Amino acid sequence: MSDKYLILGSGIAGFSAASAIRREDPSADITMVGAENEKTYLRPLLSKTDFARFRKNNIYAAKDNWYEENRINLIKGRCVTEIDRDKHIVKLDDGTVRPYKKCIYALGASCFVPPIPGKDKKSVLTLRTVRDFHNLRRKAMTAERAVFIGGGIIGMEMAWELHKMGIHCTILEAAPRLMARQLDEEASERLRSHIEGIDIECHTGVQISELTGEEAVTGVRLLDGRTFPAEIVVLSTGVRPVIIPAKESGIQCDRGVLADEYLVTSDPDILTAGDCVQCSIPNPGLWKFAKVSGDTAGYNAVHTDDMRLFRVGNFPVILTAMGIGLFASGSTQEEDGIIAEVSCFSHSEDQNHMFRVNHNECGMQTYRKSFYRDGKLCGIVLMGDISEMRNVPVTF
Amino acid sequence: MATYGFIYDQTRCIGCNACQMACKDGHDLELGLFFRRAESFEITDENGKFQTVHYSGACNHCSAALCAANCPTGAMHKQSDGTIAPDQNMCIGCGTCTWVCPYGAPKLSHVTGRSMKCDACFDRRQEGKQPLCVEACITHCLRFGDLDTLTEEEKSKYTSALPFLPDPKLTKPNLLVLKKEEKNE
Repeated sequence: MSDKYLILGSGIAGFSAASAIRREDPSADITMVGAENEKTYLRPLLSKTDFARFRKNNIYAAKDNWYEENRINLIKGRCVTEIDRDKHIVKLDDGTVRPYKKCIYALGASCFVPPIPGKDKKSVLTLRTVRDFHNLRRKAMTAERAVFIGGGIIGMEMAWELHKMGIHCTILEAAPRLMARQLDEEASERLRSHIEGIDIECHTGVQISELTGEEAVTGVRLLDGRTFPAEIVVLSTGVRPVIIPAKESGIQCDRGVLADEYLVTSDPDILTAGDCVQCSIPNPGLWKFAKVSGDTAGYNAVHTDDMRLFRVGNFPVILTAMGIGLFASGSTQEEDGIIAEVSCFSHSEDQNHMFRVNHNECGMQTYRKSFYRDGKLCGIVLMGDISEMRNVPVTF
Repeated sequence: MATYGFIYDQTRCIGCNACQMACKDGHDLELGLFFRRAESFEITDENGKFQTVHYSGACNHCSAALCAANCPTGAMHKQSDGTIAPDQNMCIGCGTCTWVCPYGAPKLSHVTGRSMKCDACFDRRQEGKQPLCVEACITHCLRFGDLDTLTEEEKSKYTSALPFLPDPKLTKPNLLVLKKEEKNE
């Protein structure tokens, strides 16, 4: 009888795990359970596709027949209610029971909604799933003003998209600066002044008092009394790993599901992958991490005697929005022992390559900040034309 | 593995843009998106000589392709025949390839949100046909084929270093250009 593999989660981590299992074990019985009513899709495209031109059929990771050809049983729209590790079964919310020999826990993460009074009002949105995207797009049709709480990548990409539609956007960030984790103070300030220059309001270090309005949201009030009227409020305040089913079944969890360097959890028959992993490599919640971890977990589920170490390179942050490019990689904070070197150049100096047409909007100036530790490059920030990232080493 | 690439005779090109239009039309590309572009340049060299030249450029399917090397998802890859194309099922539209390619060959589609570029008409070539741009060229200055079949002597007539293109050492492009020489006065 063929081995039963059960993959919890149908995101890219689950999808990669399923592909890896099928590659390594052609006779395996593979089942994938997803909470969303969708096949696996490429989540980053939700915030990168033009609003008006978005078509759901364009974003799937594989065609319908891929699941048939690879004999992968996909169960859509079902949540995991219990993992019974002793009996090797998983119970779903429709009462069905799924047995497994090896289970891959790849339930990912969900949007973190801060406990702000009024967060349950209508038109207070998050962006994580296709459904969220459709909600946001529908509301954006009639809105005139939008407030984004959280100045991370998703918030900025969405603000830029709505700005292009003629909606007045305001970004509110609780941290003292934008993209505080990825950028140092100077680069962040530069980004801010650029964003303000294109008429997107930006307020940092704010404390939100409440979201106003009766049934639907009408604006955001800060603790200092300032108010920002808005028909849409988008919360992009980060994500939290989904750990409840794992925790309740006794698998060791902290912030995420704890795993060793082979992505095996405290239960040797359960591996983990994707945004819910907590291992020796810090989880950035980025696509590459999810994809590589899914592939490794799938491989290790089949080859239990010859497991592969989970290894993944660095995770540069790339943002193509707000009319510029932004690239940050490595250690990009000014600390003791780090020497920073700044250079700025305008594009008119680059006359040599006349045929090279960069269709990305990149502004008139490029800013580069290199960070050195003990004379060795350890991080870099590029803003404007970021094509120089091709010279940045893969690992520092 | 064969090394496929474009061979372009600049001396015969009249800058008619037929290649560009055939490509755009044949691939039904959206507004503002081109896989191949033909442009005319006015160049003054170090000796002060003035010259107008045409250039038709697309992806050069480089041996050291930066788009493929930098792609964070592995979507941009070398195909079985050595040409480079993005796997539409893996591309997440991050735009890295559009930034790192010094020739500006990959483009982000506003319709699909993903990267698109010239694959030298892979499907047509499977049917034994030539790429659209090659077929459309009225002066027959554009060819596509296996560069390994050329002798060293033939290759020595061509170059991939033109004053308005990036340094070929950067990506090792599979592009051979018969350069338009200066007119002797």
